[in-house]
Amino acid sequence: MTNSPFENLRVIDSTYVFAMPYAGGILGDMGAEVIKIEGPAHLDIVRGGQFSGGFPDNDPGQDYWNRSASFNLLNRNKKSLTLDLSKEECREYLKELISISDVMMENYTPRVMKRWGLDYENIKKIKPDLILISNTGYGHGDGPFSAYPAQATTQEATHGHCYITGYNNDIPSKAGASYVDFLACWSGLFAVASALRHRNKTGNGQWIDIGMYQLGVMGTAEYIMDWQSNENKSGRFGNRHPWRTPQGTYPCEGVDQWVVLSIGEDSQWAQFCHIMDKPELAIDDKYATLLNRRQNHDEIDVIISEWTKTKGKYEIMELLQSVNIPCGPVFDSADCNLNPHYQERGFIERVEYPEFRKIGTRKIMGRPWKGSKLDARVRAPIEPLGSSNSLILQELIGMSDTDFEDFKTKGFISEEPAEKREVPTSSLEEQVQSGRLAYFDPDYKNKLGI
Amino acid sequence: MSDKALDNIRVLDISDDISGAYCTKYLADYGADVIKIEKPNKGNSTRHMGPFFHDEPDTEKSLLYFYLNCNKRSITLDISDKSGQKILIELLNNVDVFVENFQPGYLEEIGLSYEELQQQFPELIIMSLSPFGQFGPRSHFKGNDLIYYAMSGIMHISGAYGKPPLKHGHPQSYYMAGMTAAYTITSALFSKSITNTGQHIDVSLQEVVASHHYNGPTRYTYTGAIEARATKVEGSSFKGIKFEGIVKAKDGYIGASSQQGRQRPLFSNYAEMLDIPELNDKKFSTATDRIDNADELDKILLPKLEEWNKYDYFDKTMSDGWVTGVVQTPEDLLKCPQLGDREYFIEVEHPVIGKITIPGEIFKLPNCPWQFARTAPLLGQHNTEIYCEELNYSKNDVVLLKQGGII
Amino acid sequence: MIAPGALEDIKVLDISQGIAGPFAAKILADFGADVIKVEPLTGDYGRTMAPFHKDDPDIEKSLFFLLLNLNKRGITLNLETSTGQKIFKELVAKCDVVVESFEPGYLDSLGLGYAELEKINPQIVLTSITWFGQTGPYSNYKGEEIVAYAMSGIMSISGTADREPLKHGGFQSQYESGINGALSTAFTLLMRDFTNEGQHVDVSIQEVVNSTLVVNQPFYSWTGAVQGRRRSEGAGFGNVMPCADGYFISQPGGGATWDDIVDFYGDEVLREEKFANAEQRVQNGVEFDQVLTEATKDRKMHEMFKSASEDYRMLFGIVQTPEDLANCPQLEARNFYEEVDHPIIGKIKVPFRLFNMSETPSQYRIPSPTLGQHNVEVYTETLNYSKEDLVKLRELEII
Repeated sequence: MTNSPFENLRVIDSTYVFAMPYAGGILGDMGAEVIKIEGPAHLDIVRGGQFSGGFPDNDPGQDYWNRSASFNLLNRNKKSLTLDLSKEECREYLKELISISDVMMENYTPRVMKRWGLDYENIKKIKPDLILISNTGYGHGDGPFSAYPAQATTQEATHGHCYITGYNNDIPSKAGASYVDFLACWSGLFAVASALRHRNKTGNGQWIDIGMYQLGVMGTAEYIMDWQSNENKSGRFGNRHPWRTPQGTYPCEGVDQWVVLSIGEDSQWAQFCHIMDKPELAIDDKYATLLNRRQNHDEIDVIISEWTKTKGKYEIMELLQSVNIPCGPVFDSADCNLNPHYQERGFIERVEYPEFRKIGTRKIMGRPWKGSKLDARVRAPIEPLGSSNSLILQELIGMSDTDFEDFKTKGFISEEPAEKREVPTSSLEEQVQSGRLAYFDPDYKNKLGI
Repeated sequence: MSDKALDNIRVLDISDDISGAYCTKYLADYGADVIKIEKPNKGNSTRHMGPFFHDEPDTEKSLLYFYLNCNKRSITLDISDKSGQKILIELLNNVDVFVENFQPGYLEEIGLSYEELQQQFPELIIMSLSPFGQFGPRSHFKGNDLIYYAMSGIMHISGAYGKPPLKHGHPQSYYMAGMTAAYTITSALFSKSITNTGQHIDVSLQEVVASHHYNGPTRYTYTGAIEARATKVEGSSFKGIKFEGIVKAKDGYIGASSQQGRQRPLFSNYAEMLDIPELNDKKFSTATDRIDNADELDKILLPKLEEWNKYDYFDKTMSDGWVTGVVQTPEDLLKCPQLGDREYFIEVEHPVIGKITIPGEIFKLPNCPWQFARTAPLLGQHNTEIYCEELNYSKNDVVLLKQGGII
Repeated sequence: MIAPGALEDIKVLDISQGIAGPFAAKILADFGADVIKVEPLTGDYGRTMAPFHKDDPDIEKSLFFLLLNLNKRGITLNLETSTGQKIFKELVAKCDVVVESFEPGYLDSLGLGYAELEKINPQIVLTSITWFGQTGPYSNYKGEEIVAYAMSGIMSISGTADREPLKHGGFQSQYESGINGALSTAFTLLMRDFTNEGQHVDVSIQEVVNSTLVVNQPFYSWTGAVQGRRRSEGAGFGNVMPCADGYFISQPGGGATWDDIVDFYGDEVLREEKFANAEQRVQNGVEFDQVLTEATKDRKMHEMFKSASEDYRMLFGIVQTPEDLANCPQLEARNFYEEVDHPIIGKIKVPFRLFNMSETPSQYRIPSPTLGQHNVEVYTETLNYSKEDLVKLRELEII
């Protein structure tokens, strides 16, 4: 007797990097059974390398591929199956798995699935009510970019975000990291849930075809409309706002400490002047009205910075919030991990690893939403690579012992990477020196309570 | 030579009620450039009052707003904060008349007291409409049409004997006040043409209505007597007699009054005209006789009157020199030959409502007649025109001001 | 042929304003839900957001409002009056979802919080999208795009190390949160199909943005390390680089070997040891930037993009402008734009299609509503008010 429609779901997760793996992890939070499939020679790159987000206590250990922080965050809850899908024999087993699953996620380039005979038309024949979700850089179809290699970093420029992002009147810039991956993840989850409802009503599955490019473009939609209607080429205005003035990022006491604030109404400006102990600025013609503040924004920024430099970022937040002025510190990831607001909301969850993993207790982000009656939580860490090989191939699908051994010998399934890599082992101090990291906090475990 | 009575007069109207709008309608209809300031995104409250075109409540479909605001331009502005106040001052720089109906004290609260305005703009005529006036123990009270009528004395003598006091139909007080304000403004403009100074005009709506109750207070100060509503007969009208009130005709109502015209001094002539010989009795011959024998007169006359079509009665009696009345409906008014001949109504076209007939000329000024220049404005229709072309703000400024909620 | 909508059985009341809430409700509408947008008499404040059609600031001409509110019908209702609250409850009784973005506590203060709505309609899903969520010490803090950005951690890694942190252009935190609002609502509806119960969904914009820091956030909780912002120069492929008519960004990998990449740029010096791997390229960053800049100073953006992607299978991006996007053939091929005919704005192309679903695709049906456009339709058909009632309600400024 299940408690939710998610607990009945079996999800095949044949995806890599951020977007779809994250979606799979969240489906696991909801109670679904999510089976991550990787080829031993093509493991998810997040298991080790620049996207790993570090190893526990900076120690890659004996099995680095199981210890990447980001990988564990994105892929929590999942069962791990290795299977070399480039081999026809392996794909036969995948088809068996498809026939007993509800959802399949993949993010291969469009021609790969076709070549493998696993495009939607063929999958539909195996299981008509399966929901297939495909995530690619530009989407399936015959658009001119559809076969182009894609990655969130380079796409950030192509989908228009770099043009609208950058310091005031400065060149285009990147910001954040891998933005479209997350748009794809969340869009995909919306689509899967909607598709499941439709399936429950009609018995029909369907194909969800996500192209990350257009998701990114949507985030610049108002600029496109402005171009169309007004031939406005726009540009970049840093941390400023289309109309609220002043708005910006200001330096505080300490090293690399910043606060942001955003003032709209004239009366808010007046209140702020009193807080800065500069009441004369509230009635100064140069700043009292919106249009004049707009013209003198640079000057105002200097005045504000002189004041913010003398105070701590949290202190400023409290002072301004107490009179209803939007204001907050620029949090770094330490601030984020430790902030009391997240703690009360339970946004960051504890994950206990079994002893043999040598990882201990760690913390990862949960989900940015709650339902008062939704049982959504990180249920387990992702198991080590290939832990469910036998469970799935033999118990679930019925592979014989002989075939199982055969697959192992051929390297089609494994509990280790086909080729173990050199993992960089520079110390955190070295990484701070080289500029890869800003700083590190040796007391972090204590502070996190782990 | 212009054919506009108020040519070159500019009016800034920030009022938000019927009285201010009606006041500036007079000015606009006779040639003044009237600029309405309305609340951003919502507009005047009269935009939300019925009747509505096709009974569909919509900011651009109020027929009341439409009637009150032809010939005017509309901009939006929020003066609650500094940006808006600065713009208001810039607008005032270039106007002759400023019409407002804020709660007394509000303008002072936001740093725009009359003293300050008059100092900055010595030629400005400021028209302030308020429920009870700018000062006095009740100046902060709120009011409305019912209250003004009640407190004017007119309600006391209106209605039927034995029943509660009755207010005039339709919120007349606002129109009375608007008209009063319009003529005092023109007086002030005339005065300014001689003295070159403006002034602050204080109009109390209660006082306006009270001033129409001319004989009640006078009677009291001379005789100590207080006039009452109808005296004699329950359910009857003026003087307690039905036949001098509103009575039924075949297809409506008439004012049957037999108040005699100069040519026909005798009630007997009235009886003859209506062919009712029973009325030619001595007991009905004088006015007092008729009052004393009202019941009997009513019993004879009223059923006969009900046989007449209202316009037949009206036309016959009036042509014979009697003074009678006919109760006209809005439909009747639209068909009225007298109004038609005098070209009282005019057909105009509005971008949302389409073609519609409205009352036009209020009175005839042959050298500078009533003119229809434009339909009632859409909300903020003239923002760009006034802010950019007249005040020299850029298009970008105007976009900023909109986003900031200032316009 | 109109395809089925995945959410065609769902009726939504959208009382949210601005960007995040309306976008969430629009996604539901795009996939078939019947969404009624409920606005105060002054309209959603989003109607005052630029850009405006022909730069004419009018509450019916905001292009931003248009794209966020397609497919919805619009009514006015003053929730601050007791009659307005009564009418709202009558609507709730007939709906499945309410989307809102008011400050936590506001709906409760009007007697319209989840506990009250649940009594009227136990199946109702109330989706609340706010800056900091419904609970916690910051829940009543005033938010803004930049504040949510700052407090999510993303600004600490955005921009360059030699200057202040930088936020993304536009309103990404609210756009992302709109998607999360739709997704959490869809999950809840799936749950509701199973349990026949509604619930209160709490989306925090701060947490949404923080959720994207899947490398940065666990760095601290697994190693105690904190990342900073990149160098302004010499970040070895980490920055946007100039070319003849714009800017581009290039990454190693994709389908290209390092040799392929060197061939693309056409400067043999790139084959030298000092540029052989990522670390080297950062160590020799300033020179690396110079080489790239020189190599591309006469090359045009779109030509490079085509060549790098098709001939060399590189990971390559170009800084496309709004004009480029408006004319992009890939977006055309994906039917990204819809031609909308708005009663005031007229015909205009609007970014619409987020992704494809083969059975229940998103569909454009109606433009964004003018203020109160569907008052008569909704109040007389969904509820039982007469036209006369509506006139009175308008005079009382309840609708």
